[in-house]
Amino acid sequence: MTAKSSLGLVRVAKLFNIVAMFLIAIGWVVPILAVAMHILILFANNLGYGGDLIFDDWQEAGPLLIAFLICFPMYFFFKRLGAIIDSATGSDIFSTDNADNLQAMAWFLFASQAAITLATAWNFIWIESSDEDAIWDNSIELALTFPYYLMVVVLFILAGVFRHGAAMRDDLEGTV
Amino acid sequence: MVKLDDLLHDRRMTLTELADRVGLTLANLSILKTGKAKAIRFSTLAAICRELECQPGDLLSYQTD
Repeated sequence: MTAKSSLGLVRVAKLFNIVAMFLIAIGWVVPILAVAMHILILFANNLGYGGDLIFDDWQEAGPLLIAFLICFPMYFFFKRLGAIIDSATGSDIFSTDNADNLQAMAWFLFASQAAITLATAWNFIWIESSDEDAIWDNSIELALTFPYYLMVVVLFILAGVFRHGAAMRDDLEGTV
Repeated sequence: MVKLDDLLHDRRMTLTELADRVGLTLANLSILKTGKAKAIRFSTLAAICRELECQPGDLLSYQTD
Protein backbone atom coordinates (compact mmCIF):
# COMPACT_ATOMS: atom_id res chain seq x y z
CA MET A 1 0.00 0.00 0.00
CA THR A 2 1.41 3.39 -0.96
CA ALA A 3 1.87 6.17 1.55
CA LYS A 4 -0.68 8.27 -0.34
CA SER A 5 -3.44 5.64 -0.24
CA SER A 6 -2.59 4.93 3.40
CA LEU A 7 -3.01 8.62 4.22
CA GLY A 8 -6.34 8.56 2.38
CA LEU A 9 -7.51 5.63 4.50
CA VAL A 10 -6.47 7.46 7.66
CA ARG A 11 -8.57 10.44 6.55
CA VAL A 12 -11.56 8.15 5.90
CA ALA A 13 -11.07 6.58 9.34
CA LYS A 14 -10.93 10.05 10.92
CA LEU A 15 -14.17 11.02 9.18
CA PHE A 16 -15.78 7.75 10.28
CA ASN A 17 -14.71 8.47 13.85
CA ILE A 18 -16.23 11.96 13.74
CA VAL A 19 -19.52 10.52 12.40
CA ALA A 20 -19.49 7.88 15.16
CA MET A 21 -18.97 10.58 17.83
CA PHE A 22 -21.86 12.56 16.31
CA LEU A 23 -24.13 9.48 16.48
CA ILE A 24 -23.09 8.93 20.11
CA ALA A 25 -24.04 12.53 20.87
CA ILE A 26 -27.47 11.84 19.31
CA GLY A 27 -27.66 8.65 21.37
CA TRP A 28 -27.23 10.77 24.51
CA VAL A 29 -29.49 13.65 23.57
CA VAL A 30 -32.50 11.76 22.13
CA PRO A 31 -33.26 9.61 25.26
CA ILE A 32 -32.89 12.65 27.53
CA LEU A 33 -35.23 14.71 25.34
CA ALA A 34 -37.74 11.84 25.00
CA VAL A 35 -37.90 11.21 28.74
CA ALA A 36 -38.07 14.96 29.48
CA MET A 37 -40.90 15.39 26.95
CA HIS A 38 -42.72 12.37 28.41
CA ILE A 39 -42.50 13.79 31.93
CA LEU A 40 -43.66 17.23 30.72
CA ILE A 41 -46.64 15.72 28.88
CA LEU A 42 -47.50 13.63 31.98
CA PHE A 43 -47.36 16.81 34.04
CA ALA A 44 -49.51 18.67 31.49
CA ASN A 45 -52.03 15.82 31.45
CA ASN A 46 -52.31 16.06 35.22
CA LEU A 47 -53.08 19.75 34.85
CA GLY A 48 -55.79 18.89 32.35
CA TYR A 49 -54.15 20.07 29.13
CA GLY A 50 -53.84 16.64 27.53
CA GLY A 51 -51.50 15.33 24.86
CA ASP A 52 -50.11 12.10 23.44
CA LEU A 53 -47.48 10.53 25.63
CA ILE A 54 -44.12 9.54 24.10
CA PHE A 55 -44.21 6.09 25.75
CA ASP A 56 -47.32 4.04 26.45
CA ASP A 57 -45.61 2.81 29.62
CA TRP A 58 -42.15 3.21 31.15
CA GLN A 59 -41.12 -0.22 29.86
CA GLU A 60 -41.08 1.26 26.34
CA ALA A 61 -38.35 3.67 27.45
CA GLY A 62 -36.08 0.68 28.21
CA PRO A 63 -34.38 0.45 24.78
CA LEU A 64 -33.70 4.21 24.85
CA LEU A 65 -32.21 3.94 28.32
CA ILE A 66 -30.01 1.03 27.17
CA ALA A 67 -28.92 3.07 24.11
CA PHE A 68 -28.11 5.99 26.43
CA LEU A 69 -25.99 3.77 28.71
CA ILE A 70 -24.22 2.01 25.83
CA CYS A 71 -23.16 5.39 24.47
CA PHE A 72 -20.76 5.77 27.43
CA PRO A 73 -18.46 2.81 26.66
CA MET A 74 -18.82 3.53 22.93
CA TYR A 75 -17.74 7.14 23.45
CA PHE A 76 -14.55 5.98 25.15
CA PHE A 77 -14.13 3.27 22.49
CA PHE A 78 -14.15 5.84 19.68
CA LYS A 79 -12.02 8.27 21.70
CA ARG A 80 -9.31 5.60 21.96
CA LEU A 81 -9.78 4.75 18.28
CA GLY A 82 -9.29 8.44 17.47
CA ALA A 83 -6.00 8.43 19.40
CA ILE A 84 -4.80 5.44 17.35
CA ILE A 85 -5.87 7.10 14.09
CA ASP A 86 -4.01 10.28 15.08
CA SER A 87 -0.84 8.31 15.77
CA ALA A 88 -1.19 6.44 12.44
CA THR A 89 0.10 9.46 10.53
CA GLY A 90 3.30 9.54 12.60
CA SER A 91 6.05 6.98 12.93
CA ASP A 92 5.13 5.79 16.43
CA ILE A 93 2.23 3.46 15.65
CA PHE A 94 3.82 0.50 17.43
CA SER A 95 3.80 2.04 20.89
CA THR A 96 2.71 0.84 24.30
CA ASP A 97 0.18 3.72 24.28
CA ASN A 98 -1.57 2.20 21.28
CA ALA A 99 -1.42 -1.24 22.87
CA ASP A 100 -3.17 0.27 25.91
CA ASN A 101 -5.67 1.99 23.59
CA LEU A 102 -6.52 -1.30 21.87
CA GLN A 103 -6.89 -3.12 25.18
CA ALA A 104 -9.17 -0.38 26.51
CA MET A 105 -11.19 -0.51 23.27
CA ALA A 106 -11.64 -4.26 23.77
CA TRP A 107 -12.98 -3.70 27.31
CA PHE A 108 -15.31 -0.86 26.24
CA LEU A 109 -16.69 -2.94 23.37
CA PHE A 110 -17.14 -5.87 25.73
CA ALA A 111 -19.00 -3.64 28.21
CA SER A 112 -21.38 -2.34 25.53
CA GLN A 113 -22.05 -5.81 24.11
CA ALA A 114 -22.50 -7.32 27.55
CA ALA A 115 -25.09 -4.61 28.26
CA ILE A 116 -26.93 -5.47 25.02
CA THR A 117 -26.81 -9.21 25.80
CA LEU A 118 -28.06 -8.69 29.36
CA ALA A 119 -30.81 -6.33 28.16
CA THR A 120 -31.93 -8.82 25.51
CA ALA A 121 -31.91 -11.66 28.03
CA TRP A 122 -33.79 -9.52 30.55
CA ASN A 123 -36.29 -8.51 27.87
CA PHE A 124 -36.91 -12.14 27.01
CA ILE A 125 -37.03 -13.57 30.52
CA TRP A 126 -39.20 -10.91 32.16
CA ILE A 127 -41.24 -9.41 29.37
CA GLU A 128 -41.65 -11.71 26.39
CA SER A 129 -41.22 -15.20 27.86
CA SER A 130 -44.87 -15.98 27.16
CA ASP A 131 -44.63 -14.89 23.54
CA GLU A 132 -43.45 -17.69 21.20
CA ASP A 133 -42.31 -15.27 18.50
CA ALA A 134 -40.07 -13.57 21.06
CA ILE A 135 -37.91 -16.69 21.35
CA TRP A 136 -36.99 -16.37 17.68
CA ASP A 137 -36.57 -12.56 17.81
CA ASN A 138 -34.32 -12.66 20.87
CA SER A 139 -32.27 -15.53 19.48
CA ILE A 140 -31.53 -13.48 16.35
CA GLU A 141 -30.65 -10.45 18.46
CA LEU A 142 -28.26 -12.47 20.64
CA ALA A 143 -26.68 -14.09 17.57
CA LEU A 144 -26.09 -10.64 16.08
CA THR A 145 -23.84 -9.72 19.02
CA PHE A 146 -21.49 -12.64 18.24
CA PRO A 147 -19.32 -10.72 15.70
CA TYR A 148 -18.81 -7.98 18.30
CA TYR A 149 -17.60 -10.51 20.88
CA LEU A 150 -15.29 -11.87 18.18
CA MET A 151 -14.04 -8.33 17.65
CA VAL A 152 -13.36 -8.04 21.40
CA VAL A 153 -11.13 -11.12 21.18
CA VAL A 154 -9.40 -9.75 18.05
CA LEU A 155 -8.79 -6.43 19.80
CA PHE A 156 -7.20 -8.18 22.78
CA ILE A 157 -4.95 -10.15 20.40
CA LEU A 158 -4.06 -6.96 18.50
CA ALA A 159 -3.22 -5.24 21.79
CA GLY A 160 -0.81 -8.09 22.55
CA VAL A 161 0.71 -7.82 19.07
CA PHE A 162 1.16 -4.07 19.47
CA ARG A 163 2.74 -4.50 22.91
CA HIS A 164 5.18 -7.06 21.51
CA GLY A 165 5.82 -4.84 18.47
CA ALA A 166 6.51 -1.85 20.71
CA ALA A 167 9.01 -3.88 22.76
CA MET A 168 10.72 -5.07 19.56
CA ARG A 169 10.88 -1.52 18.22
CA ASP A 170 12.32 -0.36 21.52
CA ASP A 171 15.00 -3.07 21.27
CA LEU A 172 15.75 -2.16 17.68
CA GLU A 173 16.12 1.51 18.56
CA GLY A 174 18.61 0.56 21.27
CA THR A 175 20.68 -1.53 18.88
CA VAL A 176 23.71 0.12 17.36
CA MET B 1 30.32 -1.71 30.29
CA VAL B 2 31.61 -0.09 27.11
CA LYS B 3 35.16 1.28 27.26
CA LEU B 4 34.96 3.23 24.02
CA ASP B 5 36.02 6.48 25.70
CA ASP B 6 39.33 4.98 26.92
CA LEU B 7 40.07 3.40 23.55
CA LEU B 8 39.36 6.65 21.70
CA HIS B 9 41.59 8.53 24.12
CA ASP B 10 44.44 6.01 23.66
CA ARG B 11 44.13 6.22 19.86
CA ARG B 12 43.82 10.04 19.90
CA MET B 13 40.63 9.70 17.88
CA THR B 14 37.42 11.69 18.17
CA LEU B 15 33.95 10.14 18.27
CA THR B 16 33.01 11.96 15.06
CA GLU B 17 36.06 10.53 13.27
CA LEU B 18 35.23 7.00 14.42
CA ALA B 19 31.60 7.46 13.39
CA ASP B 20 32.74 8.44 9.87
CA ARG B 21 35.13 5.49 9.60
CA VAL B 22 32.68 2.91 10.93
CA GLY B 23 29.71 4.31 9.04
CA LEU B 24 27.52 4.87 12.09
CA THR B 25 25.70 8.04 13.04
CA LEU B 26 27.26 10.12 15.78
CA ALA B 27 24.05 9.75 17.77
CA ASN B 28 24.22 5.94 17.70
CA LEU B 29 27.89 5.92 18.63
CA SER B 30 27.13 8.27 21.53
CA ILE B 31 24.44 5.83 22.69
CA LEU B 32 27.07 3.07 22.65
CA LYS B 33 29.68 5.23 24.41
CA THR B 34 27.35 6.27 27.22
CA GLY B 35 26.27 2.66 27.80
CA LYS B 36 22.66 3.32 26.83
CA ALA B 37 22.67 0.82 23.95
CA LYS B 38 20.57 -2.31 24.46
CA ALA B 39 22.44 -4.38 21.87
CA ILE B 40 25.33 -4.17 19.44
CA ARG B 41 25.45 -5.79 16.00
CA PHE B 42 28.39 -8.05 15.19
CA SER B 43 29.02 -5.90 12.11
CA THR B 44 29.26 -2.75 14.28
CA LEU B 45 31.53 -4.50 16.78
CA ALA B 46 33.78 -5.78 13.98
CA ALA B 47 33.95 -2.34 12.35
CA ILE B 48 34.86 -0.60 15.63
CA CYS B 49 37.50 -3.24 16.43
CA ARG B 50 38.90 -2.88 12.90
CA GLU B 51 39.21 0.90 13.17
CA LEU B 52 40.51 0.95 16.74
CA GLU B 53 42.74 -2.11 16.15
CA CYS B 54 41.48 -3.87 19.23
CA GLN B 55 39.60 -6.99 20.33
CA PRO B 56 35.94 -7.05 21.42
CA GLY B 57 37.17 -7.75 24.94
CA ASP B 58 39.08 -4.46 24.90
CA LEU B 59 35.84 -2.64 24.11
CA LEU B 60 33.44 -4.49 26.39
CA SER B 61 33.74 -5.57 30.00
CA TYR B 62 31.35 -6.95 32.61
CA GLN B 63 30.87 -5.48 36.06
CA THR B 64 28.54 -6.75 38.77
CA ASP B 65 26.07 -4.17 40.10
